[in-house]
Amino acid sequence: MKRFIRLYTKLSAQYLKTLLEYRTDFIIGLIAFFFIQGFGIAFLFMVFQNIPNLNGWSFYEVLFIYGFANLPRALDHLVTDNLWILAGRIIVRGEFDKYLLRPMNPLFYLFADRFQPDAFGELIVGILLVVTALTKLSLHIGLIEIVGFIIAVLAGAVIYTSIKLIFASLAFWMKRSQSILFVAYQMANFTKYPMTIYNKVINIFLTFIIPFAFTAFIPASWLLGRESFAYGVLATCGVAAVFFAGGYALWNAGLKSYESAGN
Amino acid sequence: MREASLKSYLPFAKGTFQSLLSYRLNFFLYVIGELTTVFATYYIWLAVYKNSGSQTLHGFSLQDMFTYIFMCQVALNFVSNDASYEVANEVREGSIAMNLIRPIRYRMVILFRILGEVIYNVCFVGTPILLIVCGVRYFSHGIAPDLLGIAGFFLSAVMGFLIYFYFNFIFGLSAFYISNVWGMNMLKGAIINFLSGSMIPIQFFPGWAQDILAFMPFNSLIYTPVMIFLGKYQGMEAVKALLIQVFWVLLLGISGVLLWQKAIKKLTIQGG
Amino acid sequence: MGSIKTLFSREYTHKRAVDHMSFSVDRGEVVGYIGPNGAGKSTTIKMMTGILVPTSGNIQVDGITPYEQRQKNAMNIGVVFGQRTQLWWDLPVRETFSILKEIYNVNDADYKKRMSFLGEVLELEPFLATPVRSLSLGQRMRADLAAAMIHNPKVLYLDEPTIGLDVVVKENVRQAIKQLNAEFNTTVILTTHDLSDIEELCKRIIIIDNGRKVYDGTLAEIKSRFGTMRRLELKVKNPYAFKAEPLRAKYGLSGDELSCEVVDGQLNIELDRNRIGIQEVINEVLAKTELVDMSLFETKIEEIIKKIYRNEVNME
Repeated sequence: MKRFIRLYTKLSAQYLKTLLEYRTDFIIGLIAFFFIQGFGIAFLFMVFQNIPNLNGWSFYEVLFIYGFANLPRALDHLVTDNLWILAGRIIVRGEFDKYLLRPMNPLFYLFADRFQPDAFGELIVGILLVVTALTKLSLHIGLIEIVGFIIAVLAGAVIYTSIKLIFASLAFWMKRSQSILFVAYQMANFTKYPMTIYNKVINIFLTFIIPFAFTAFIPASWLLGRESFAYGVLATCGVAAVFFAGGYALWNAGLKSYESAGN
Repeated sequence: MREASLKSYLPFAKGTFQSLLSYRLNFFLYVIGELTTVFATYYIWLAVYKNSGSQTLHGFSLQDMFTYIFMCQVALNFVSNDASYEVANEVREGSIAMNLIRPIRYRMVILFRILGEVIYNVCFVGTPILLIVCGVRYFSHGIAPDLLGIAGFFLSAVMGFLIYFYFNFIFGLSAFYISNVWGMNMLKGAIINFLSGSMIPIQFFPGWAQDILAFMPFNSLIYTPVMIFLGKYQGMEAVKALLIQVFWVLLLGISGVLLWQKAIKKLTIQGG
Repeated sequence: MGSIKTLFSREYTHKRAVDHMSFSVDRGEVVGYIGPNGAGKSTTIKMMTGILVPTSGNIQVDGITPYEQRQKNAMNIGVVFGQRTQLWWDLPVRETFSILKEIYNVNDADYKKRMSFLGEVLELEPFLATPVRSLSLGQRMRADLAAAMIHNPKVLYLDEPTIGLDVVVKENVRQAIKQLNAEFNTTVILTTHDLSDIEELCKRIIIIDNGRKVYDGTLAEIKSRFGTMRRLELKVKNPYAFKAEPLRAKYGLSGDELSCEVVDGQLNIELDRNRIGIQEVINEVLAKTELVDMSLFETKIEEIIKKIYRNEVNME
């Protein structure tokens, strides 16, 4: 474990040096990101000018869910961004070879090789929204809530990673799977709002098939006192474990089928 | 030098169109991915109208709102293009100088390349959505298609296309002066997406914001054509909205040409 | 130790890239692995390094099955792909080494020792602070070689290490490979299109074609086998007048031992000096047509190997 952390730090530090060569782009990108988030919130705000609540969810409750959704997404985004590149070009160009030539777990190396600092924007906005919403909502926040919150955010991040891993691994057979990965990832758009506004099919799909519901709405509902601890946190962890096991198994099968590229 | 005729630019449009054709499957998956946001918005409005207790909000009925969010996607098909990215890339790589030795206008080359993309989008995404919207309105709600509205929409959307094209052209040329077009491009996308009314109708904005936006070109990109389609702009109001669009086409077009001429000077002095 | 045993095949969707391949390599050997494009060289290397999993068969590198114990195997090997650098593209060369030090758990003392040796042999000093993307191809190749050696691997795989380099740099790289092999007794497996690489570096060569092994032995053996081959280039009035068949029949020769072709109106004859006298051949030519000019060559090793690729000579 110590070796993993040391290697991760080392590789990330190298990547950061690379990024610093393009730092202005990075800063403008971060600003753009704040704008995107700001507009999303402005949209909610304008919508709420017309209604007392959204299917029984107050503005700050919706804001809380919206902010919560940012957190697992950001953590995953920070660490596993290379899965997008894997699905887009690493495999099809045979660049995956290098991940198989080092004495490291290839998935670990893939993650450690790149991180996405844009995610800090997501993380900061998420924390700001969650804290703002909490101060307005007068919820009971004790030790269980804090620990449960952290666990749920981490488990949510694992769910994001697992779903990305599953669709990115398809590239081992399809050569490119970025567009499919994109469709799957975009499904997460549904979960940043109270999911009671959707019909049954969408709810079932996002709970059992591509379980993004567990990355935001379900654990956030527990903190808002609308779901049980068992469903909000334990089930989230269970889903994370099951999907990660599945994703990792598919990844391993993919490694066996990797065909590299001709010269 | 003999001026090239329109015909000599057609191959550029054809080229983009055909290369897009070969990425069909990926293209449609990306379209589906983008549409998830629209569907999420659809359900939000459904809940909003249920909870609001009134039939219309800012003059929009629920039917209007559904039509609005999907027609925004159609209008976006006319508008979205990455001319700024293309121009900026050529500026950065220096290959833009190559265009000075050809007997054709660079602006037109880019325009036609983008046109290939836009025609593709409009044919395979925009038009199907338009037909579905008209079909749903007719069969579920008995609203007959308003042919004048559709024609007005197309006219206005083409204006929107031209405005955004020149906007992007100018933006791309800014790569001569600033080096971080990639980040700026992302910022531009975010701002336009919101201020053009494609997330929520401009009517829902606070009054002061509406007043400011009236003096900006963003309304003209998406909001104007969709409002014409909905019949919310009719008669003189529609003509006025179209004239505002013409104004922006001219203003941005002339600025683009002037900036291009200035950029050429810079290019020849620097030697590319 | 350090020996490699292989017996495997790998199926691609459409064709077997490698089939019925079997060989073993001893510690410290430098083996040239050659064949025409698409023969299966890269596929073999990728299986031996653990990148590809063979559909059937078995590979052992120093007692490890590469594709099953990939990480353990990776500790033992160094790999250089001539066409694709493994250095960190945007970073100074020095940074790559410091990352690799962590990845391979190299201790400080060993690291220092090897860096100074590699730095000297490969002349890295002048560009250690340069970002990889600004290196020349030759510099990049030297840095890549050093990067592959920093953990003192038992086996070094070099896939086209001299591709695209000019003659002087090629020679530098070859010398460096020689010295590395001598200093660390590293087993080297080398693929190349440049046979002078082979002549200079490898005692042993394995030739493959269409995924199958067609020759495995020393370069010297090829040379002595075909050392008596001569090539006659003749300018004659009618190059088509001479035919090889009557002479073959007369002396009982095979197609390898006497052959002829017409290139650009010039008659080229290949013959085995031990089997038929040059004089007999010339006499036969003179009997058929009028001679304008002629030259005589020893057949080049490239020519022989090309013939082996084309299955024009019998290796049994």
